[in-house]
Amino acid sequence: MYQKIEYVDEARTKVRCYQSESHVRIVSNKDALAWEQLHSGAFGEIGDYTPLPKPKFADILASWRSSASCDILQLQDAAVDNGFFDDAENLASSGPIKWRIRWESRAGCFVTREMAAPFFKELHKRAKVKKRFDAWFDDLVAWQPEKPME
Amino acid sequence: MTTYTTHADALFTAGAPILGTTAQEARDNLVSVTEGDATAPKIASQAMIAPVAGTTETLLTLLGSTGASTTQSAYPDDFERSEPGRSMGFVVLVPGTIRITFDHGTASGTSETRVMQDGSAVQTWTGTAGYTTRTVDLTISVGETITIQNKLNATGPANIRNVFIQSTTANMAVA
Repeated sequence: MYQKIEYVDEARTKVRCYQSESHVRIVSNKDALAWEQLHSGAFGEIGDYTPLPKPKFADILASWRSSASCDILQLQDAAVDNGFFDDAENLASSGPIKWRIRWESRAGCFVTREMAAPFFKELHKRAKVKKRFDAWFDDLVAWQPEKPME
Repeated sequence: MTTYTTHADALFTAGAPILGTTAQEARDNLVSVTEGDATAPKIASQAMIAPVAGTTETLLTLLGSTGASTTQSAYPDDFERSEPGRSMGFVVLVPGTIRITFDHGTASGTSETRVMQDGSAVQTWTGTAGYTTRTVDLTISVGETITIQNKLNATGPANIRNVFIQSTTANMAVA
């Protein structure tokens, strides 16, 4: 009747019965009749409790960093405020440079830091020179969603 | 409101006649219980029709077909019941078994959805792009808080919809 049965908790107060991968029945020891049936062996041996692997905070953080977004104007402003683009005016007026910064035209544009846009490539390059890494970017602007806490 | 009358055991001694007034009071006592007279015994929630996991009756709809989503990558408090898309729940009024069904998934990437019973996870599923329907049949006790919580693992957002609490019997088992 069940594909698999196993204890839900270490204290063995509940049993999870898989009718399918997407349909489970949770039987509590408060349900005396069902509890007795499960422990009669009629449905096979009850598997031990297996705790879910706890996600590593580093993985959570990496996931957040890959998907968090911000307003590019805020990011550009923050980069300038931190001395990253002191040469911004010169760069913006030099036509041949591909990553030319168009501050006003980007208003309202939300971006992630993983974007392959020339601006980001240059920002990362300059950040590396200044030894500013991921943790520094985390606090640079108001990312959405907020940075997860450990 | 009909007043409840307490009868001494001596009124019902074997072989003794039952007075008409006593019989009338006994009849009225039933009425006083249904009316909730202050001195009458109260109906225990255990005396109500128990829910039985099944699909005949929808006891509670926490989210409809439009659904909700979250971009949060962490679960909120285990007992949070009012953050549609992230954590929804109810309190058990009548013991029995119920069926919880929902569709979950992501726009892209992966999510995680879990069913919590009084602060303990009884089931956790990973959601992928699109929607997958999940079902949990759960033994419930009076006073327990059940929550359905959703979070984003990567990319996203994490979506959830059609969150129903169902039973084969119509009652007010949850709220």
